[in-house]
Amino acid sequence: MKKLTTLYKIIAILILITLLTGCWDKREVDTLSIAVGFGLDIADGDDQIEMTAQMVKPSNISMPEKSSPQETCEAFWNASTVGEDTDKTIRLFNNKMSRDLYIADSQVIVIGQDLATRGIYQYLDYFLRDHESRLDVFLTVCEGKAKDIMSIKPQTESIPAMNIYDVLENGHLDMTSVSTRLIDFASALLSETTAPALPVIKVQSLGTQNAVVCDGTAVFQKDKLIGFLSEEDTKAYMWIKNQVSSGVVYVQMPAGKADYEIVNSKTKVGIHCDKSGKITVKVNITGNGILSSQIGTEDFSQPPAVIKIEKAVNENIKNSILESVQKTQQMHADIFGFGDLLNQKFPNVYDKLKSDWSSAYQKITLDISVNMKTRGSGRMMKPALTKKE
Amino acid sequence: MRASGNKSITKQTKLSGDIEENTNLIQELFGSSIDVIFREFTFGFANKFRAVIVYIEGLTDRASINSDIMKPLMYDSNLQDPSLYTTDCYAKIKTAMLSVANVEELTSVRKLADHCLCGYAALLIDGFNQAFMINCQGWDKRAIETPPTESVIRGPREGFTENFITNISLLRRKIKDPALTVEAMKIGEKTGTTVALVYIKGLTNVELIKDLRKRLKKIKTDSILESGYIEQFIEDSPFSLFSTIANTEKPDIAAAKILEGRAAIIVDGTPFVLTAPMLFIESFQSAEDYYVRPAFATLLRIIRIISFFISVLSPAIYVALSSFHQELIPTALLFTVAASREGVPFPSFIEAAIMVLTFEILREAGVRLPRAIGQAVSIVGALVIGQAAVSAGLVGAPMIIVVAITAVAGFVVPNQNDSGAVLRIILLILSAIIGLFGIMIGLLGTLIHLSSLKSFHVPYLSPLAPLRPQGLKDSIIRAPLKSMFMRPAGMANRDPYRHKVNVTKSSGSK
Repeated sequence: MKKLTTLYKIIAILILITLLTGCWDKREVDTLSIAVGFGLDIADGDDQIEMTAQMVKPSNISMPEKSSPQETCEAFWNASTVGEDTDKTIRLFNNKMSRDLYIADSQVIVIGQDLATRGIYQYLDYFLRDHESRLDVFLTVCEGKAKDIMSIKPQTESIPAMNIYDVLENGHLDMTSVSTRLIDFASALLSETTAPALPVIKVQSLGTQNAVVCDGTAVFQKDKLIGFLSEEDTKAYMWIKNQVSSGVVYVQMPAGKADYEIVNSKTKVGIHCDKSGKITVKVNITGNGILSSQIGTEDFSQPPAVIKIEKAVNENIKNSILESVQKTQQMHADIFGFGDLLNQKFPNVYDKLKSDWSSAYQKITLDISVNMKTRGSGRMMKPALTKKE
Repeated sequence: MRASGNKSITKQTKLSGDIEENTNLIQELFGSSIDVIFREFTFGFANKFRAVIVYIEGLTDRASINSDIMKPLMYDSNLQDPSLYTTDCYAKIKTAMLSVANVEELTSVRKLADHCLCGYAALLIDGFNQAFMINCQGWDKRAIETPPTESVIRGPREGFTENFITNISLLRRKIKDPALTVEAMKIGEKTGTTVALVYIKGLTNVELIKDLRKRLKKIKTDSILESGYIEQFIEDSPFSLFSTIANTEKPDIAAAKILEGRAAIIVDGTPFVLTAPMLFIESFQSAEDYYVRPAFATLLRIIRIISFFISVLSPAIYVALSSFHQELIPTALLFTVAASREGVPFPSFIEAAIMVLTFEILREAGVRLPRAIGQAVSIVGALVIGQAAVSAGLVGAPMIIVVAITAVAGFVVPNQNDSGAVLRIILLILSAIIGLFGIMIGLLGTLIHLSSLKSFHVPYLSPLAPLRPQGLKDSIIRAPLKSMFMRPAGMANRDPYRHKVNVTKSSGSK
């Protein structure tokens, strides 16, 4: 019977433990108010912000569209409160609403342009510390007020915040905007020389409907917005950061125009510092692409034509990168992380220059070499109509 | 013919030469049951011999008694010769007159009664103090048919029946080895059930046979009605959730297990034959695995193992994730779960407990319902009830799906149905208390328990733990038969190789 007393002891211990702990940390799903997106705006009053939380109404998500479209059929609702900082505002939400805010599923944090110029880190510190929030929420700056952008009902999605998330992700793949998560922003701030860059979204009328589109990059100095870069310049950022996976380069040649689609690419960035303190950044891009559209007289089944277009594409990419880097140099914003690269390779030089990096950054020269290879020209070799200009 | 005096009949009571006394003794033992027949007759020259046949109607083949016992005695002319009335004429009766295949001689009244109860007819002859016990067993029995609990697509469809001799014959037909030994014993005071230990001499471990024999002989009970009784008396861990003795209804499975070095226990009166020792991995093996192609068999094995885990863990994981760890659920799924829980009056755990309980009730009821209604209250019926519950707002739709998957997955591994059902409830309760941590504790406890379980000195989780690489060929995967050349480790220590291993020479020689 010795085995049995051990069994009884174990059962008794288990029952006691159960009674002690109870159902610790249990919370039912229907006591949560799932927040999918946050918007931060300037509010009237000193140092106050208006936070908009977009929450999901789960019972309306899978419901088919009713015959009479009503407001109450929407799958989300926005709530705004004014407070001094994020922590206080979120507690105001929790106090006023019937359910506590559940921020683990938030997809985007939209920051109004005005607030971005004032400095945003103090409002994002809460999201970085809270154990429930995710560090991979997308950060974005919007033109106008975040509250308005988050109310725009998208055509295909049911929740605006998810739509903004998809827009940002798609834009990143198409080389029209950068993609910055909260963790990327934080690591850019931790570096002493890098300037963070956030994508910009705005409302644009696409035909008859309004839609949220992303358009370029916002450049920050520490955590204050200082300027914008266009879509073209964003492309250079993606080239240098080795984030190009698809995209089109438009080239103009004497024999016509061509669109060259990039299939894959790889960028290697190296930094050199010679004895006189001159810093050169070497960018080496290789990749493959295919001809996606063409007008003119060139026949791409012949190698000379292929060489011509490759040369044109390489030139185009090189020039665009050079132009963008020059623009950022004028803005004194090192969004590419060249400072960190220098720190890796030449820490002594970096230590001397880091206190005044914005002027040192202006003096950096670039040595770009692009080598794109053509894989094919699609289904056709010669265009169906060879237009002689 | 009643004698005066009450003699209590003990094991030592012997027959006397007086037929009247013997008859009275037997009548006293049997009481006044109507199916015990005493047929008196005379035979021999001038009807010199008085004889009585005692048999039990229903257990014996009456035609055999008529034609094989009474007819030769009554009509045979041998004993018409008066010179044969000497002292050894009784022996002559046995050797020359009784045209039956199986005759014994007994003197003990108790043993006579036991034999009669097994379908023997007792022939008492006046002047002779021994009784001839003639085997004329014949009773209504079920024909050999497909076992209802283990049906296969490919493979033999015979199943064991309740008849002991038939079962042994089915095994003999599979293993035509003279070393196949059948050791029989009677267990149970009142039921006298014949229990046989079947093994292959020279193949099965001697220690295993000794151990089984010892445990079987130690059983002191008054009834053995089914092999389950034997199982519970001889097993290593009666309180464990997991059984350490396997049972089967199919002779090819039993034969395969005997050939791997196990011993089988056949119990009269039940078609379920026990095999010992049993490994955990056996519950996921089926006879069909060895008859179909290895790749397909491996796929089936993996599906079975996954189904077992699904069936045991699903309700617990659903409760843990939706009550404690919402962060682990992908966002889109979280919306669905949240939508389904709106308006439901019970917390997640109560919902799960109600559904699991309802499913067990339906399953139990479905077994006992008459066949006509039984089909209606099947899984489909359960789902309809579930749908109605969702419409009424009592439970959420994902919960119905979880329980349906649990139910269906549970039937994939029927051997572990009983342990799975209890384990499911334990894990559900643990998950409702401390979430995923509770599930981990439950699984860890189960693992510790399984690792320490031994089935007749063979570790229960072998070949996975302790690791036996040769045994792995028949665990989660099913390697081709040619490469499974060793029997499972721990069994058949004296003859571990199934077939000779061909040492492959390089091409060119041979």
